[in-house]
Amino acid sequence: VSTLLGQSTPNVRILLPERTRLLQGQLVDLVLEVRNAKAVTGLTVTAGSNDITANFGTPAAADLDCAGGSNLVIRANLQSFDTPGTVKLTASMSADGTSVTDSRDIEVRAFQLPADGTRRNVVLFIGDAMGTAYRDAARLVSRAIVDSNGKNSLREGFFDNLLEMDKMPVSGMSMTYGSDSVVPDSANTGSSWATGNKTFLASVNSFADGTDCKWRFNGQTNTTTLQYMLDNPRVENLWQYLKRRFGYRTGIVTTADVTDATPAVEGAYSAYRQARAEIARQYLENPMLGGQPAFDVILGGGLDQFVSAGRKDSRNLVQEFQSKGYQFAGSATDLKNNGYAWRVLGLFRGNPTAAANSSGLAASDSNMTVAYDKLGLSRPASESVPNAIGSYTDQPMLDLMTQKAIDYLSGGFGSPGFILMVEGASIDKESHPNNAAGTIWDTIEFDKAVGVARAWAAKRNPKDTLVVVTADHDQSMSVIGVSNIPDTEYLDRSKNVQASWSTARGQQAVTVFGDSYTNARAGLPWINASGNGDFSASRVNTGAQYSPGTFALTQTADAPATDTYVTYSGFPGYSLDSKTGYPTNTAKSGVMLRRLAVGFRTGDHTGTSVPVTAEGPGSFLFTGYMDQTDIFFKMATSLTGDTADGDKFVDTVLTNSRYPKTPGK
Amino acid sequence: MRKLQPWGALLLAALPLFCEGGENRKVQEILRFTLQETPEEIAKLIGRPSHVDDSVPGYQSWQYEPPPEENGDDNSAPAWFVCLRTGTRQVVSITRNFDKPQDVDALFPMAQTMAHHWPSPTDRQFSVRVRRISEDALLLGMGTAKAGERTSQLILIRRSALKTFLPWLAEQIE
Repeated sequence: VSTLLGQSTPNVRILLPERTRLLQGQLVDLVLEVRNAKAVTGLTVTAGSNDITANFGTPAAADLDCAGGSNLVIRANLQSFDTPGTVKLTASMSADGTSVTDSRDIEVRAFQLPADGTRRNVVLFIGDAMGTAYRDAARLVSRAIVDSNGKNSLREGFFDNLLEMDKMPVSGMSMTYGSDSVVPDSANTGSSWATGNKTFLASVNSFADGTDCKWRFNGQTNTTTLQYMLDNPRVENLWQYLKRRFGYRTGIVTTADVTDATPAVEGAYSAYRQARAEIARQYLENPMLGGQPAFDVILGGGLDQFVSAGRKDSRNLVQEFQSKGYQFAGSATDLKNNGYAWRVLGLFRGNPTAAANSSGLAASDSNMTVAYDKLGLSRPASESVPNAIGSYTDQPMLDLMTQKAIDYLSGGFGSPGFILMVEGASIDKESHPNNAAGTIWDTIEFDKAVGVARAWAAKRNPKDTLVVVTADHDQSMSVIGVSNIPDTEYLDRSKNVQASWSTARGQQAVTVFGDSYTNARAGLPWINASGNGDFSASRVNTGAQYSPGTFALTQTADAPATDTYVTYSGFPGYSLDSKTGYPTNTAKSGVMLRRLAVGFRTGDHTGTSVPVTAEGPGSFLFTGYMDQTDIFFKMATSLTGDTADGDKFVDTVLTNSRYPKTPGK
Repeated sequence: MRKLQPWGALLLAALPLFCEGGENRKVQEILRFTLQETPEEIAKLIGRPSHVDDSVPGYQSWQYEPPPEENGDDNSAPAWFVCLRTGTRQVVSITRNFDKPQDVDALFPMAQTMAHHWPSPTDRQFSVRVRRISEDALLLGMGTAKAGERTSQLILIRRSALKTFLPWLAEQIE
């Protein structure tokens, strides 16, 4: 009965999460949805003791929940709360003669920059999908280097030299759940650390609303439904907040398309991450900044989203950025040789032909080539090479992009402070297809970029730069041992083993690979992520949807995992390419390279918490288990300058010999 | 290997449509569906969804990951969306997303196909090829106006649902 009443009687809902947390002055759209009413009178909205009714526009009719009927939406865009504390937001009105009300308790946190005019910086590193095992794998490959005398830098279980991110003094763990699921994606996790608030899968800095049913539930994502992706309540991210209120300089560096989800959360607002053309436009004309550009520095892939041929609106955003004073870089050589510029747009990879896709929302992704392939390392012939170099033969490595971004942001006229996000994107993108070497070498590339920022920050006096390294979410890779396969015996990925099982649900079949440099598959069979949509006879029974149930192994002849790695014996040992500074992945003649063995349980994200490491002023805040949204507030707190007590404690722990030190750190 | 009998009846029912012209099996698959299926029949046809979104009252969205041969990371839209009305358990629409644009001309014989344009026939910002499949089922080739134009999205939708989900198209068709 109550459900029926709820559906038919007027009601109002404030579209903010139950646990909304904001910095003072942080912008947010206040949106009221009134269901089952044709008209409202007597609207009153209060924030604490302040009447903010006048900020709201005229009620507009809307089809909420795709249910028809009479509904209204009342908006007050880009509002903020200036007084710290808990603010009770209350909306009340008469809807078709019925009194309705809703309220939210909003936590507003104080934020002020140091009164003495000093400004701190933040460099946030996001290793996309870089859970604990990914850090471990990068360490076990790049810090297990055998020198010309046969001495391994990983001996007796200790490393001579840990990863750059290992050396950061403060560690914690971040829980990455979205507002609608345990397993998140890069958009809603990015929204968490960029805005301090959780949202739903695929959403960029936008909360759910009643028109999401127009596209989220049926997949009808295209130009005609874009309006429903952009009408969600937006919440300002830290990049725009700092630029708008305090003149901070802002930047993004990524090995992905720069409109991919992780960079998008620093500069755009869209409930659907794949509205790439719109995201690129918002980089140029940001809604939080009165239509001014979101960033001073943009470096990465994604040229197609910015050129006329890749956009339905035929705008040439590269030229438009240039007309606003941005220096353009299209190659590593440009990036190295161009002189200092106040604002820089560097787009280092596109597709051979740029074209808007049929949805009208985007051009095809053009992520930068992954580190493994930029370095020219060998892959098994059967392993696909995503984002192959093609004609983009002069792409910068991530450490160069990071160094240049810091130089651009910190230099020039005075030092207003800067905030920079650096993403190692293909840790995730190579993990989806279970390309172990691709994902591990990308993590190594990422760590070198961390080293660049740490070295720069270490030279600052006073120490004014916080460096934070974390992941948006995890994926399913595990470190399972050491590979004992000689190069000559690697399995071809196309010659995988089709193992079958008899279960109570019928005969089951799974695909088990035993292939790929550095990669022996997990002891548990890798279950082909999907047979969905492929109705050919050879595939109908290979999907994960058939896997639940108790397996009774009836076929033991093919057990590739046990043939390809050892669990409890030995260490990996790689050679270093002195030219590149990266480990090589091929054995020397007559020598069996002992590679790290990793396994993947799925080709998807997981809901496992991810590590956070931090260094610099305010780093002590990043200890312990935290929610991912806390990262936003911890970064903000570090910028206030009010961290002296904790910083002194961390310095003491690091410098006083009374306290133990980890070998290699 | 698992036998195919559980969906045999449905298969036979859809066979005439499924077999017509064209070699691209991937795009033909959508014609296996009639929108008259129950949720259980959908599950028998393509398995259980990898993601179910039921955060809006009245609807449930079943979403399926792309097959391995299609580029599947979290940038890829689910390969299949099945939109259900929870009250009636009626299938409202089925959407197939492709990682790369597909030639769908075989699904849209010229004599049975109309092109419509958003927001209006004179201001063509977005186009859709529309083919009537049955009394209450329309097949839509999104972002395409004529033969030769490829699409990354096919939608099978109840005509009666157009007014809710694509009102501009409902208006033009009516």
